[in-house]
Amino acid sequence: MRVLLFPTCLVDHIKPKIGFDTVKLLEHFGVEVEVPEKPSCCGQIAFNVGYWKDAKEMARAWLDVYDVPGFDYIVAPSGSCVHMIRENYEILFKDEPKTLERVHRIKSKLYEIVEFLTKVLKVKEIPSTFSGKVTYHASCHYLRGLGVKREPKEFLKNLKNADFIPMDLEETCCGFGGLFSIKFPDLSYNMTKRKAESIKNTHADFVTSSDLSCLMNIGGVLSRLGLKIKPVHIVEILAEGLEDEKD
Amino acid sequence: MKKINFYENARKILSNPTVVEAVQKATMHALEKRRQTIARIPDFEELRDKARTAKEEILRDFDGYLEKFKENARKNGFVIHEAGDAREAREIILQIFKERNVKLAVSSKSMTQEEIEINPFLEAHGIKKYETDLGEFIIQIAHQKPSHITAPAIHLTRREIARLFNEKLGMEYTEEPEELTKFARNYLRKKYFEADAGMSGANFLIADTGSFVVVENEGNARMSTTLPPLHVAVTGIEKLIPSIKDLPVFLKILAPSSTGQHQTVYTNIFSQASKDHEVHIVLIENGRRRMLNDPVLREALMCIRCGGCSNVCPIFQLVGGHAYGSVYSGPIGIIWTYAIFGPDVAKELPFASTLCGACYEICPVRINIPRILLELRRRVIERTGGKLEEKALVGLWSQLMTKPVLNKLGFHLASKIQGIFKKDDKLTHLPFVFSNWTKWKDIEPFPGKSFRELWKERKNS
Repeated sequence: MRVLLFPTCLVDHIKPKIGFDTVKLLEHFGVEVEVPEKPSCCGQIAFNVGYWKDAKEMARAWLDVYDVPGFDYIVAPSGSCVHMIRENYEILFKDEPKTLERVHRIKSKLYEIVEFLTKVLKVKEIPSTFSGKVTYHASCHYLRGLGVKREPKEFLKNLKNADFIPMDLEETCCGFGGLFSIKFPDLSYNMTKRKAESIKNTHADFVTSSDLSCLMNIGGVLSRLGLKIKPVHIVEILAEGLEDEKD
Repeated sequence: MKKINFYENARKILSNPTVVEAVQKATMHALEKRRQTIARIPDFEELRDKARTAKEEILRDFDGYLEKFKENARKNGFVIHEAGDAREAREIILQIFKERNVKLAVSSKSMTQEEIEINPFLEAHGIKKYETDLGEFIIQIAHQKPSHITAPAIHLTRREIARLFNEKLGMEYTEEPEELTKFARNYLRKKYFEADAGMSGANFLIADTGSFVVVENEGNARMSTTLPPLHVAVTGIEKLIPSIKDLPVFLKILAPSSTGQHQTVYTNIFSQASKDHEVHIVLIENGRRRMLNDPVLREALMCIRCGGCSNVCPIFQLVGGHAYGSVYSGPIGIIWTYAIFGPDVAKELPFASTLCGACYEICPVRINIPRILLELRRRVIERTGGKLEEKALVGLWSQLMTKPVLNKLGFHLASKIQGIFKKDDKLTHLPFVFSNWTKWKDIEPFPGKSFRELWKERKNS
């Protein structure tokens, strides 16, 4: 099985480790992974604030990179970006039948990593260990957009040595919202602070999520408040204890 | 109406911890009650679907159902008036009152009456109107606007209400809710008997029977509408439902979604006028037809005004309804405000959401609020071009993501110059619009190389 990895623009440029950990997970389950040479972004950042022309440009470029033969699936370590492509490209290109065809073709092949592991590879459990207390933030577009609720938490609970502690505001938005955080910083901060308090109350050492964007936002406030809780992407946790296939 | 400055309003409210705390407590309480209640309604999801289907049917043949309602309502002896906008509505109501020499009116809670700003208008014409819903009564004596679609005084604490009753009504100071309620009850009780007219809104207009429904918890709507010899109901035309057979479905979803009650305490169905009890219905269009003709906005006409989306919205939970600067607040309120008061007044509002989707998840009639907000954002940017710095930021990102050479150069440069904004290995004081981020949040520095570059190196090694 061949997978073309969509690292997402954030992982690509801000935290490459998440990309490598995604690859590590996929390879562990016998998947052959390839990474495109060109950069790409799903366009969500523009789409969500009304700049649909820019969003279209990025989306079209994304399609050029990923709508290529030779791969069974496209996998991304982000619920939000997958949601953008799966749900919003049809809105964006509603007047372009040819592009819509490409969108439909690619939609059926595109998965978020945990979704891919559970739905396509039918993985029930990650045979790995992780030591530490960890809590989970459900990213909005992953939870309510893609409808993935249970699976990531099941993975975390079943990791050997991991201590999973749910937070009370697990399903409440962290206040990022893309450019929302730049447009309305005081509001965004107060939302994130509420989230940070909920995280703090779990006494966890780590907070994890399917989306780096949320984690950057939450982590930014945790850091500013001087809290020592570490934001880590869910693939970082799942892949940590896995034997590296290539070593 | 002037442009609504949402962020400015929100920041003012954020600096007042009492409001933030009051709103948070009340909304979280309503959500918890909702959760408990719907856990005991096994077919709640099917009821939502049925309600949605009934509202879709209304939109399919809106004029047909409106005509049917008017025809049947007239058969019930109701007098039908139609107002194109708020001004017309006010004039119609004044006319009815003048003809009958109304000097004093009592009213149950109605957001549509708030929408047309009837109170100051009547006051200017020498007609005193008392709000009899406790929440509305409180904000009336406080000279404020409702801060929630169903709980208008949600932003006020018990202490503030105690002070208000003491100062404005001369009540001996107490913070006991029972005492305060009793006082308001006695105060208003006299007004029902003195009033020349009673007013209400309507929750549902039933097409096949020509009757209409007002739900309430305090008995005040029942008294307002039956004790005075004249009843004027003010309602938006979108409150239509096809049949009385649909009513149970709506009643079963409305209260749980709103306050978390199984049912409201009183459900009033008005089906007949009589010689000594006139009933007038003022049907208000005020932008609703524009919504009906708009392929994206029309879905918002299905709203049954439960206020659930406000309760669950993480932004509303922080700042409450006053930040939205309009009678209609919260996620659905953004859409209604945009539709009724126009894009110039409401151009900032569609952005007042993280598109987290909690509103869509809770909406009893499944209105895809985030989808509509996205469309409104597109329209605002198309109309205004967008703010310069934001436009530049989006444009720059688009270039970086679609031009590989620029991408490499840009991020290489960023990783080189970021050192001057670094403190303890975090970026803490970025320039330009990025300072909006570092005002409250740190950020990790850029790594020197992208994942793709590192991947290529690893493969070639």
